[in-house]
Amino acid sequence: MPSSPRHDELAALAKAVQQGQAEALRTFLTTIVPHLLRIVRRVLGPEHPDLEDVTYEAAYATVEGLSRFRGEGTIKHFACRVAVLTAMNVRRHDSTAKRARQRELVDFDGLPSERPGPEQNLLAASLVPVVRDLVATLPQPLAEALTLHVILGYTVPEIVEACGAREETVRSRLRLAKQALRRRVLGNPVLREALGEER
Amino acid sequence: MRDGIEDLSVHARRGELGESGQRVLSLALRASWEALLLHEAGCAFDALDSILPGDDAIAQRAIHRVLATRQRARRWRPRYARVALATLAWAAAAAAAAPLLLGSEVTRPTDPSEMTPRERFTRSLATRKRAAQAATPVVSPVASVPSETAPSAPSDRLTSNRRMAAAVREYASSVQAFAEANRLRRLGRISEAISGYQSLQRNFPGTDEA
Repeated sequence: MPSSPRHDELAALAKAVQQGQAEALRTFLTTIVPHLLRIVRRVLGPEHPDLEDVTYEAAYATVEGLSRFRGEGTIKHFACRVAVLTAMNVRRHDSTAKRARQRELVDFDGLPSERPGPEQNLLAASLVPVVRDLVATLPQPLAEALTLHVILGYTVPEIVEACGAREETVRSRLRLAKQALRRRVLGNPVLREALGEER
Repeated sequence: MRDGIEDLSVHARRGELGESGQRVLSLALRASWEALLLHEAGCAFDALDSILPGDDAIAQRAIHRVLATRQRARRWRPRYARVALATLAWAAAAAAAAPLLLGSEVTRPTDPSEMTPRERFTRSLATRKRAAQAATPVVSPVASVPSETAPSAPSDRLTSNRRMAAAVREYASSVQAFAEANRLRRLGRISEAISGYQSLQRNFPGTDEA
């Protein structure tokens, strides 16, 4: 794909931030942090207790990483990718901690009923939690491609631009992620019923 | 170039697909259950509320924390440098004063005839090593960092930025100016929003919004 030079609205501001201008840093953060918050929320879910902390970490990592930005894609894509990776790491950490907790002894009296309520049924019938779980368990390159495509709505050329990978590589990662998603859905009876069996 | 099914799905989610594109997408989704799953998952994420009440407060707190952390780091950097410099000076002074304090026992004989065989061997080894290092050409690593040049902004964009800056000057309070800049950012008019934030900082310095 031929890459034509594009206007990056945040480039001049990012340059000023790197030069140490305090006002530019504040403006840059005011512009970029709401986007980061939205991305972090999409990856972690709206109920996650560390939403604010993860947003702060993503914003800090973006500002610190500006000196390493090599101009592949736009600053906004760069910041979004930093947010995706930060949130993905948190989700993976949560997932590992959850598995460790499950291995510990549990108090059976304190366990909730196994029969799901209507809200749980509705949630289970949605693909959102399945994708979020996949993001926590798939290998990182696949999880990143899946997140950028499904959660953030990036096209393949946009993922190529953000990750710096080849187009065939991105398509291959998406294909593998799709297969993993299909396996997950087939393993979930509620979801399988809601979406209809494979034809 | 023909778009893949993934790209068609994204364009449909953004509402950028025409009638023929929609038809191609629906045929492709009917042919592949995996692609249908991916498309449905994307639509499910799009349907989630991406902006919620209280977002501005969360964003502001995150911004304050980043600014405070950066300020703290900047304040500590010279302090660490001063401590390191003082330690270095103290170590150098101690090294220089050591022979004077301990007498001539620590000074090494320079005449080979006064040296023990072990000292003579160590000295010749060091001389050979220095000679070998001098003979080896030093390859300097050259980092090929592509120089970045920001593309020039179109003139109409500049005009709208100036208009935004003029508008901010007219606002009665920093709250109004901040709200207007936020509105523009939400609409995706990033450069105008940036211009608004910058004018806000110039015209209402010291306020919470600035």
